[in-house]
Order: sequence, then C-alpha cells, then structure tokens
Amino acid sequence: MTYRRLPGKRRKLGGNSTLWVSEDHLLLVKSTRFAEQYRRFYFRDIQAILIREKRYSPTRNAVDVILWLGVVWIYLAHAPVTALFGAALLLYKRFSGPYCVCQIQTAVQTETLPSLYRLSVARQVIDQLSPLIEAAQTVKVEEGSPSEPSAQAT
Amino acid sequence: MTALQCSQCGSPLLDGDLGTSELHECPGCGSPTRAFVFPAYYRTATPTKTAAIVEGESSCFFHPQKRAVVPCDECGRFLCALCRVEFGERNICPGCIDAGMRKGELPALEMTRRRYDSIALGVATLPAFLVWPTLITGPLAIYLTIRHWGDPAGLLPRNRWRFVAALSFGLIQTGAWAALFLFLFVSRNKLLV
Repeated sequence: MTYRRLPGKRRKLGGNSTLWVSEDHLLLVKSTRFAEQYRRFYFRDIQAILIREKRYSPTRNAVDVILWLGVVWIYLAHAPVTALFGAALLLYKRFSGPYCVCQIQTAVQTETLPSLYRLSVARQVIDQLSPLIEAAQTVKVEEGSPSEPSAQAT
Repeated sequence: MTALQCSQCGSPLLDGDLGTSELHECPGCGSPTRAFVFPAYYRTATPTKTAAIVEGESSCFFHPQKRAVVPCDECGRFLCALCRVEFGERNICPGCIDAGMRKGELPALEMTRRRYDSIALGVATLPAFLVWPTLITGPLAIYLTIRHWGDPAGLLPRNRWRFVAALSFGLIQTGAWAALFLFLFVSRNKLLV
C-alpha cells in the first residue's frame, strides 16, 4: 500500500504529526523520535471534518509584543543580521494566515488533526480529501452495503 | 448519527450551517466554525443480523447455531455475519485478526512501529558528546544496524541513510577505541622492555 503525504506538519519538542493518504483511508502519523503511532480513518466511515478558526487572543498578542521587543533589543545590541532573521520569522508567523483546529468525525470518534493548524492548509487538504471521501461513500451506497462503522476504524 | 459539536465549547452546530462554504459562528461560543459533511453522516446504523441455521446449510465456526455467509480469506473457516470482519475486499475471522496482530502480518492493523534506524543513529551520535559512553554505544549502534537492517521499512516511504550513518559513526567510534587500546598496549610493552 502506497501513501502520499498531505500538506501540513505540526512540529513539537518530542516529535511531529503528519497526514498521509492512501487509496481508501487517511493515515494520521504521530511520530516521536524513535517510534511512530498510526491512526487510520477509512473514507467510507468519515462523517464530517470540522474546522474552527482560532482567534488571536490577548495572550498571544502580548507574546508577540515581547518577541518584537526582543528583536529590537538584539538590533540595539549590534547584531542586525540576527535581528533581521528574527523579524523575518515573526513576520512570517504573523502573516501566514489564521490558526485553526481541525477535527475529523466518524460514527464512533472525533479526533483532532494536529498537522492542520493553519486555516489555509486545512482548506487545501480538505479540498483534496472531499472528492475521495464522497467517491468512497457513493460507491458504498450504490452497492447497498451495511452502513455500520468498520472494525478497522480506530 | 452523532451530532456535530463545536470543538471549543461542545455546543451542537446548527443543521442549517452544515455544508455551507463559509465559516459560521458557533451558537455557543461564537467561534468561527465550518463543517464539511459527507453522506455517511446522514446514514443510520443498522444492527448486524445473523440468520439461524437451517438443516443442510453451513454453520459458522464460532457460532454453530448461525448460518455461515462467507469463508475467512486467511484460514477458510466459515463465518456468520457477526464474525465476518471486512478488510477492504477481504473477509477475515477474529482468530486470524488476533494472530495477524501478534505476528505483525496485517499492516492494516498496525498501530505503532519502532524506528530502529533513528534509534541506531541516536545511539551512535548522542553519547558522543560525553565521549566515554561510546565505548559501549559504538558497538551497540553497529549491532542495532546489522540486527534491524532487513526489517520492514515501515508504512511510510523511508530510506536507509540513518542506518548507514549509524553504522559509519559506530565503526569510527569502535575503531578509535580499538586504536587507543592498541596504542596503550604497545606503549606499555615498550616500557616493560
């Protein structure tokens, strides 16, 4: 079975999280440095994908202000290249679109997809997945198969 | 059908907002939310029905009172509708699922996998900062590489550069230790002579 990587990657201190797609299911991979955990969502079982846009909270704004002050301090400390690099990172973070929480729902579970934390990336991935899911579920209806969730869905 | 809920406050989302192209405010917390709903959401689950056996019909291996509907594609046992588990286009019995999970023969059921290439690389590189542990970890990295070189690569595409790097570092460290001990041995013999 071959997998294709979908856009989006959530990096954390202990590892990362990515999404992969195969012929009939979506694979959520949570990776620590030395192991990988898999969760499969079969297209025929997916009921909905939910996106909630995260608002820019006062706390986050305060953190941004502190980081900008840090950049200014580095600049004044005669390290303009480092300050420029920091400023570029902060600008990228600020203008690469709003954050979101993306969840996938089946009949028996609701799971967060950590790699889809930017609204633009989430939309891009859902645009890729929607035709696959709808095709799998249309075939299922035409065949008249039972609709209970499959045992593989974890 | 499980009602769609806001991931922030848990309030049920309004049916009128489902499947629309724009973000809508959650009725509970006001967070901008959008739900992409698929046909499976509107289906109602039907309980699995198992028919009782009639004389002359094949019975289920696990439930002798129930009529068999399919054979297991692994072991060939007859299965009723309750025991049949579909894996793509295959039907497998609970016994074969259990055996497959234990032996790791069913990739579709694999939930976790150790990355021995990363472990070997970690063993080869991280202790090098303290120098002395490499006396043990150098050969250990070589052992891990040789032991797990032929293991299945994993579900995701992955090449073997980590194994190669771990083997290289392990050989360098082990070689350096061997050279040091040889040097000390020769120096000691010269002093004795």
